[in-house]
Amino acid sequence: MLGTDQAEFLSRIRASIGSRRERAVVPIRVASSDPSPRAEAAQGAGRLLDRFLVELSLAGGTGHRVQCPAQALGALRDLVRAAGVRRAVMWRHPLLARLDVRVALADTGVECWEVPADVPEGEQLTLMATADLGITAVDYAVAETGSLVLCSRPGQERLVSLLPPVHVALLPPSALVPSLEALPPLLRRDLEGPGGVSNIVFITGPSRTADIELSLTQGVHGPKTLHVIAWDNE
Amino acid sequence: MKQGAPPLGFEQRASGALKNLPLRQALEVATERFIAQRASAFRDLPDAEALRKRARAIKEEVLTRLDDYLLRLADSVRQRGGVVHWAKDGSEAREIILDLARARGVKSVVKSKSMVTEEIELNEALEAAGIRPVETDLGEWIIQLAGEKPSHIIAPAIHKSRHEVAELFSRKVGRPLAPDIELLTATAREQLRQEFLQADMGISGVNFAVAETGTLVLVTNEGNGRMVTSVPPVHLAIMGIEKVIPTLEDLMVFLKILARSATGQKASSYVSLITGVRPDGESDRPRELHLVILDNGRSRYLSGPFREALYCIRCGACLNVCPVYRQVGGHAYGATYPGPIGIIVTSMLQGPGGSKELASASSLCGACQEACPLDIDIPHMLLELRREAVADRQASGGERAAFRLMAAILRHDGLYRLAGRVGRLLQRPFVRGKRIDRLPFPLSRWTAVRDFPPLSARTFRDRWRTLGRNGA
Repeated sequence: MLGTDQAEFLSRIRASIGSRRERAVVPIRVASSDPSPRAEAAQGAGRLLDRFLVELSLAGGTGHRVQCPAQALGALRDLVRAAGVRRAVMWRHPLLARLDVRVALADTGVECWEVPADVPEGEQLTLMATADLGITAVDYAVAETGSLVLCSRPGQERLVSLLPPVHVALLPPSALVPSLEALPPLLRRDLEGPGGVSNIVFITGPSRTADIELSLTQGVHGPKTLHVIAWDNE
Repeated sequence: MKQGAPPLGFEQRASGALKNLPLRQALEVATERFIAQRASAFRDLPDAEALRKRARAIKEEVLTRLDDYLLRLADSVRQRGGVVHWAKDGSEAREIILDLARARGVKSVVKSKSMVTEEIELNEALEAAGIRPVETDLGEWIIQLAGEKPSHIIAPAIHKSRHEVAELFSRKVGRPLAPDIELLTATAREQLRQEFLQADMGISGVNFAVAETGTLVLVTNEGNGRMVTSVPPVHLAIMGIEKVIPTLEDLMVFLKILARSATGQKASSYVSLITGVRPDGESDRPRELHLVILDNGRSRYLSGPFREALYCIRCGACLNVCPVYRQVGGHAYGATYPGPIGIIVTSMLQGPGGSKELASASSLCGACQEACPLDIDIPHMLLELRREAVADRQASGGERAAFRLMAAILRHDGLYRLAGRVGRLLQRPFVRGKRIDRLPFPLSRWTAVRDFPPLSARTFRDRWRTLGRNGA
C-alpha cells in the first residue's frame, strides 16, 4: 500500500507531542463522555413539537401539524395534489406500511414506488433520480434545532430524501427529542447494533446556498422544499 | 495557477485588491452579514462560553494523545469495512488517491468542498493524470470554472458578481443565461446532477472524525456533501490529523459551535454521519470507503507555541472580523488558508519562514481571538511568528538597525528626551493637518501605506509636571 506505514506515522506523532504525552496517563476516552447528561426539563411531546415546528420554519422547512395519523394521510394527499406530483418514491418502512401510504395516495393518480431490492443499482438510482417526491419516516426529530434524523437501512435509502425536488417526512410524536445532546446514546445504538447503520443524516430545512452574492436560494442539490407532517396523538 | 504568474508579494497582491472596488464592496457586505448572523445565533445560546471551554478541553485532550486517538479511529473505520491510508505529506496523499483512482479506471471525480484537497493541490494532480475533477459546492464550482482559488473558507466565490457567474455558466452550457440567481442556481443543479450520476468516485473532506465509532462527519448546506458520499460507487475522504474527536457527545458540542460560527445557523442543512461501508442488502452506494489521514506539517505544531492552531475547525469567523482580511480578501494572502488563522496554518504547512511576510498582515487587534469559537490565541501566535522572523534574520539589516537604535533610546532617559526634542524639530516641515503622510526615504516606505501621528508639542512629562504642581 502507498503512503506511510501506520506504526511509523503514529510514532512520529508521538515524538512530536513530546513530554505532554508522558504526563497524560489517563486512558483515551472513547465511550460515553458525559457522566451526567444534561438534565432535560421534562417536556411533553406537545411542547417539543411546538418548538420543533418553530425551528423548522426558521430553517426554511414547512410544518403541517395534525391530530392523528389518519389526518396525516389527508395532509399528504393535499400536498401531493398541490405540488402536481406524478411519481413518488418512498421508504419501505413499518410506519408507512401501517399507515398504508400507497393506498392513501391511490386516488390521487400518483405513481408510488418503493425501491425494489432486486433490480440493478443503476435502475434503482434512476427511479430515485426521476421521482418528483420522496416520502420518508424519520428516526428522530430534534426540537431545539428543527432537525430530522434519518438512518439508512435496507429499503430506507438515503437518496429518497436527497434526489427528488420535494421531500415529505412523516413525524410521529414518539420520535421527538429535546436537543442534540439527547442523540448520542440513540445513535450509538443504531451504529453498533446488528446490521449497524452506515449512514445517518441530520436534515435541517431544505437544501440551500448563498454562494452567489449571498442571496439565499433553495434547492441547489437536494430538495428545494421540505415538508414535515407531524401528529400529536399516536 | 501555481505555475502561471510570477510570485507576487503580499504587498503587491494587497494593493491590487485595494484598488478593486467591487471586491471591497462585496467583502464588506459579506463580512458584515456573517458577523451579524453569527452574533444573533450565539445570542440564543445561553451557555455559549461554557461550550467554548468544553470544545477547547476536548481539543486539548485529543492533541495530547493524538496518536492513540488516531489509532482508535483507524481501527473503528477498518472494523466497519473502510480502508485507512496514512500520508505524511501532500505528495503521498496525491499518490494514494491517484493510485486508487487509476486502479478503478476512474474518469471523473465529484468533490465536495474540502480545504485539504486545495492544500495538497489535488485537482491539478488529477487533471495531470487525465481524471476530471468536478467541484460541486456552488461557490467552488464557480471558481473552478473561472480557474481561480477560493477567497473565503465559507463563501469561496464572494468576490464574484451574479453577472460574472452568468457569463461563466453561459460559456459552460453554451447558451446565454440571464444574471438571475434562481436561474443560475437551477442551472448548476442540472449540470452538477449529471456529474454526480456519472462520476466514478466521490472525494470529500471531513469536518469531524469520531474515534469511538469510526464515524466521518460532513457538514454542508447545499447537500453536495451527501451527494458526493452517496451517489458514486467509491467514496474517498481525506482529513488532517487534527480532525479526530473522541465521542458522539463531543460531536454535538462541535456541531453546535460550527454552524453558528460559520453561517449563523443553529444547524447546517445537512450533517452526514458516515460509518464504514453500507451493510449487505442496502441499495445505496458507495461500496468502498477510503480514508486518507494527512499530516503535511501539522505534527510539527503539536508542541510549542503554535499548538492551538490545531484547534481550528475552519469556520471562517476570524476572517470576517479581521480588519486586514476585510479590506483585501482571501486572494491577497496567496495561500490556501486565508485570514488570521490562515497565516498560522500556512506557516505550519510550509515550514519555518513560510509566512514571514504574512505575519505582518495583521493589526494584532485581537478581534480574531474574540470571534474564535475555540478561543484560539491567534494574536500571540502572530506575534510569535514575527519574533521568529526576526530571529531568523529575515528582517532587513536596516530594519534591525532601526529597532536596535529604538531600543537604546527607550532604555536611556537622557537619550529619550533628546530624541523627542530632535523629533519635534525635524517633523515640522512634514506635518500636514494633524498627520504626517509623506516622509523622505527610507521612512517613505512606511508613509506609503500609513500615516504617522505627529509628536505632540507638549510631552506627557511636561503635563505630568504641571499636574503634579497643581495637585500638590
